[in-house]
Amino acid sequence: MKSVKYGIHILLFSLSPLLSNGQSAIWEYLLIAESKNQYNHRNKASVINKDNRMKIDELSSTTELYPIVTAGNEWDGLRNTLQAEGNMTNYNFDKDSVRFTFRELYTRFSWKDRHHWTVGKKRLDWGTGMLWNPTNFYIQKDPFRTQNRLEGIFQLNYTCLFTAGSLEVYVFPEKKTKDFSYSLRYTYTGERIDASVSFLEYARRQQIGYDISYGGDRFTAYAEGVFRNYSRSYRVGKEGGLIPPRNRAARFYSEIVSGASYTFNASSGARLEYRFREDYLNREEVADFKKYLPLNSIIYDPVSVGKHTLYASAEIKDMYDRFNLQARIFFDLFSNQLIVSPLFVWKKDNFQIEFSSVIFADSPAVFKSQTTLLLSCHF
Amino acid sequence: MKALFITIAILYISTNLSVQAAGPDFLALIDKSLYVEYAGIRMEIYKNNKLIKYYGIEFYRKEAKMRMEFVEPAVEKGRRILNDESNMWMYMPRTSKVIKLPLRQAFMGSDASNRDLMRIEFAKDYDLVAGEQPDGAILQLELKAKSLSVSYNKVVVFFDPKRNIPLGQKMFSLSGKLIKTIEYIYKEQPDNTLYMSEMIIKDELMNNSFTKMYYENCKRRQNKPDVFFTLGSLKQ
Repeated sequence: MKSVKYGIHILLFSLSPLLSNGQSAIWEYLLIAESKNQYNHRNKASVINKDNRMKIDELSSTTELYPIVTAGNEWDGLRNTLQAEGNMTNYNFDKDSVRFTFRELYTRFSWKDRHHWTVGKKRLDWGTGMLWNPTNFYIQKDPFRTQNRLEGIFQLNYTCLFTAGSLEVYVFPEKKTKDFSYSLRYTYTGERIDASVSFLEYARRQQIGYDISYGGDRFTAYAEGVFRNYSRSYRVGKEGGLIPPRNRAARFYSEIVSGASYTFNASSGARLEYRFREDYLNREEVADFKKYLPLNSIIYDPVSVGKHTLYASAEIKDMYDRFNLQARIFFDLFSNQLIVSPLFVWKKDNFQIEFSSVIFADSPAVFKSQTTLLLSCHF
Repeated sequence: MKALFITIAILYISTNLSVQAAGPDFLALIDKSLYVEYAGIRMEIYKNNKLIKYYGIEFYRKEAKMRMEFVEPAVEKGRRILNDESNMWMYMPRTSKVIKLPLRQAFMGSDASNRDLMRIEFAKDYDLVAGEQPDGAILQLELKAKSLSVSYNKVVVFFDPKRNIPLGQKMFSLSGKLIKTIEYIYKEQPDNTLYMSEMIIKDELMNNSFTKMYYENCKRRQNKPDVFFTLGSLKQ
């Protein structure tokens, strides 16, 4: 299936008359090398990973290379581009663990900057939440590093731009046409406010989503939410038994994220974000979940297993944006999972160093802490 | 010219009307001379006369809407900032995500605020309240902010009346403290028109720190449609 998808791209690209007869060529490239080195301080008392059955190494390393190429042409208002973002990953310097994928590979035709047709694998950028995006039904960010380059989704997209908004139509193909997903999204931009509503038909289930954000002089506020008649989470049944998502009651569940950021001055700011997930564990279910561990450890999420999660961060940065220091806290109101994470980022021209530690305070946690040194170079 | 300014001052004091009604519309002239719809910008940030950071930017503008696309350094490549007068967004290519920015956020670690760079409309934001010509050549125009939402309460612009261009400006806080100074340097183009070629921004609250912006390939007009300056276009 993947080779067919990539073949479509190559065909579209090579057939494009603009590439051979175009008037204005577009050619850009970027190469990113990242080395992530981690020290994993295991929690030996964790019932989820008793006797280290997950075989977690004390030290781990991931080296990634991202070659990114944008090529295209423009001719009399019609622009054609091809975007390719590869990813080569190597785990623990093991020569047999090299893996190559395309994170993005798509072709786009644009007419007078107003109409855009996209075919291929492309990241989905829905939602206003900084950490959590319930409207993005395919992939969620790593809350400990929101700047990770995410995997794209194979899609056919048409976007029409207006001066006060945009309309997006998506088709997400699968192996069988009956499994295709479809979605529609309308975005409105007003004075200091922008808002979106979206509808998704996903594997014959439906999701209605919305997001809104407001920008003040010194602060921003945002909210994002969905109502969907399906769930992806397990539930704890009687005597610790698991109720898989497909067996959960067919009803609408809501998920809401809201947050705000405040800029005190040029070198400091703070952010607060809250997430509510109706289909996750309530206080009683959290107690059952803990009681029957590790039977139901599939439910375990290192950040939060309960309905309510809070995130707060404070940032101090150099006036020249050369470095910044962040203190981040995650807290689950029902399970009392607490995570404290300092992060230091230093930038110089094409180089960036990130040093972070994630300290887990709950007893089932697999780790006591994870300390990461991430080096990245951009060429 | 001196007589004109005396007339202006009398008119302002006696009737409390805007001085712009009585003489040349200096604010419009300043806006016009600084108005370009496209420029390639290299921004250099200095501390103790040492270059500590730089950006390469493609700058687009249509009336009050402005868009910046970062091309240098490689770590910032693909980043875009859009200001449509009442909103400011930043597109981050790593995650293909757009985030909303507060309007008063400092511009990526420079001596310029986002408003210095993304909202420069004197006629809209300021009233001309006084003017003088101390050395007989350069006018000193005193401007007062129309509302508290404007970044600087008072601005003094040094204006060359022969060439109808601003040469520099000083920006003051509500308490009258000098916050920032900007110097404009111009270059004559082959068609004999003057374009700003350099802007030097100095944050007076920080010692030995300044930002230089070099402008290239300036165009008074570009053919980007209105939708190019929208949130939706920022992601395309």
